[in-house]
Amino acid sequence: MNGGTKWSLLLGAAAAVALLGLLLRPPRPSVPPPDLAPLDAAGEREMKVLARRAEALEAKIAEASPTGTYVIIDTGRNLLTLVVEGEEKLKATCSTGSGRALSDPSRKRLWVFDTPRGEFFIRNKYRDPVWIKPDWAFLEVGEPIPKGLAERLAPAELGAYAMDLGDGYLIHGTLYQRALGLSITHGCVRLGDADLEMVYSKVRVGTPVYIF
Amino acid sequence: MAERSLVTGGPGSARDGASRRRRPRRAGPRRAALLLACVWGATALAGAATRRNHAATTRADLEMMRRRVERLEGEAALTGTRKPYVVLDLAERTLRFRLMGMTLREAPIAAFEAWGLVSSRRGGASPGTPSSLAGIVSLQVKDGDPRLSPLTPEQIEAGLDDENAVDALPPEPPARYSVRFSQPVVLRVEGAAGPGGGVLAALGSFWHGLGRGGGPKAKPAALHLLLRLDGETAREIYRSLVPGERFIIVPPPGLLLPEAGQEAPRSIRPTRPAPRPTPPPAGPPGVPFQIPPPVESEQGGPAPGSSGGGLEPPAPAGTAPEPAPAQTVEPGTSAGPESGLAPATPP
Repeated sequence: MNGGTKWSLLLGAAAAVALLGLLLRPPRPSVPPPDLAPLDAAGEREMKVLARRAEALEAKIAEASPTGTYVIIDTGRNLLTLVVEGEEKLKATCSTGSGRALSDPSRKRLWVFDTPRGEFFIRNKYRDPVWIKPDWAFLEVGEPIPKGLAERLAPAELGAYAMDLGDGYLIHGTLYQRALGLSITHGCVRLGDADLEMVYSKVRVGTPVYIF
Repeated sequence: MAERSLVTGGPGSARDGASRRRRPRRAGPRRAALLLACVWGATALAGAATRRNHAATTRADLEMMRRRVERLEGEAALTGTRKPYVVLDLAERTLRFRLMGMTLREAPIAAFEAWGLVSSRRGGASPGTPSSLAGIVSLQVKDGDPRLSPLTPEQIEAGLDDENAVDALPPEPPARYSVRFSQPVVLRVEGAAGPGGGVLAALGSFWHGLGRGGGPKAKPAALHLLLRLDGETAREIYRSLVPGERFIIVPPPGLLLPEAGQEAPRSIRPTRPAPRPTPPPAGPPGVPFQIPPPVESEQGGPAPGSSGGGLEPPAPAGTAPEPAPAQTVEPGTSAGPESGLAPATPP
């Protein structure tokens, strides 16, 4: 069988599969035209009740919206927005969690490096924070886990400021500014120096942070 | 007088008596014509208003209102969870990320295809069950999720996860992927195809159309959706989606969602809001720490009314808090950073 025959057979088989697929494909329902028949009295009553319910629900949902100063973090675009009194004061490129997982089979541990989603609050603010490297920071570079505290300290790693979101997640600076905009962190939110200073100066303990 | 004033200023006015005599005779038909025009205009306006009134209260509008209320019921329930959720609105062709009553992001859907939707007028003017107008489903897994394949010790040795190493950047998220839900629903996202990607996109669409979007071993889905988005938007959305995230799917007008085990809004439990931390009270100027608790409370346990342990003087600015003991995380659980204290967290 020469090359040309092989190709012909392959193409024929592909065409047959495609034809079979088209035949087996479930039909898509056609969109019916809108029903423009006028409502009867019962329909009108239902319409009024539903309109009132919709208004009440919209008001209930709107009640949950924050006011004052808050921070929004978009993990998809790696974008941090600072809102002060309803006005966007800053839109800054940041870095968020990679979503990767790291396992430590010897101790049966697993870490998932996600930035958590939802509503959080600034719980603490730190100047010149010192990072105490956890075990995974050594594991991921294939280094032995040290026993002493001194070997875990990384004074410049977090930049000039850090803001605690709880559960150990922080908004902080970075030594690797070229990586801003990428989803590469272990769950924290990294900012550039100037943006970090701006956010640090505007938020207080208790300021809400919304992450999605 | 009135007739005279009627002709005053008109063409050929007051030139001769004949014209003055003829004009009153022409005023009658003109008035009549004016009156007729007014009547016609009023009738036309009234007709338009009647048509508008009728248009505002058709059965189609009632269905839209039912749909809106159902979506809002779902949104109100999901707002209570204090977690982000996605409104996949096929009627408005938008994908909205919402959290706490805010629309945080809105992405347009260029086009979509759907298999499994049913006509709302099949067998009469049935409004459908409520969950068929706007259904809540939970994301279970997305294609190529790095969470599903933890790095092995060999990869760790090779420094694959060391993002600080030069050129060790994470892989680009895909523009074409499938998302499966806890319910039998499959969502396929097709980002705009790059060079040569058109064939792949067509194949993906074809495969999805066969009902195998969830993979050969996936259980048969009751609803298949295929969204066509801008390539970059598709990638960004991939990054935003995490397992457990909820979607509200709103079908296009005239179509309903099939029974696919949608979550009822009442079944979604609200999350209690986390206590909002308050800033520590500032001490008087010149005093670097607070007055320590009474001696009795330190020796004999916590003083009455204290939360235990007494007050600790706040650390001066610039001092690193002490590390907390490391947590042990069992496999299969999602874990945050290892240490409970702020500086002992991942950068």
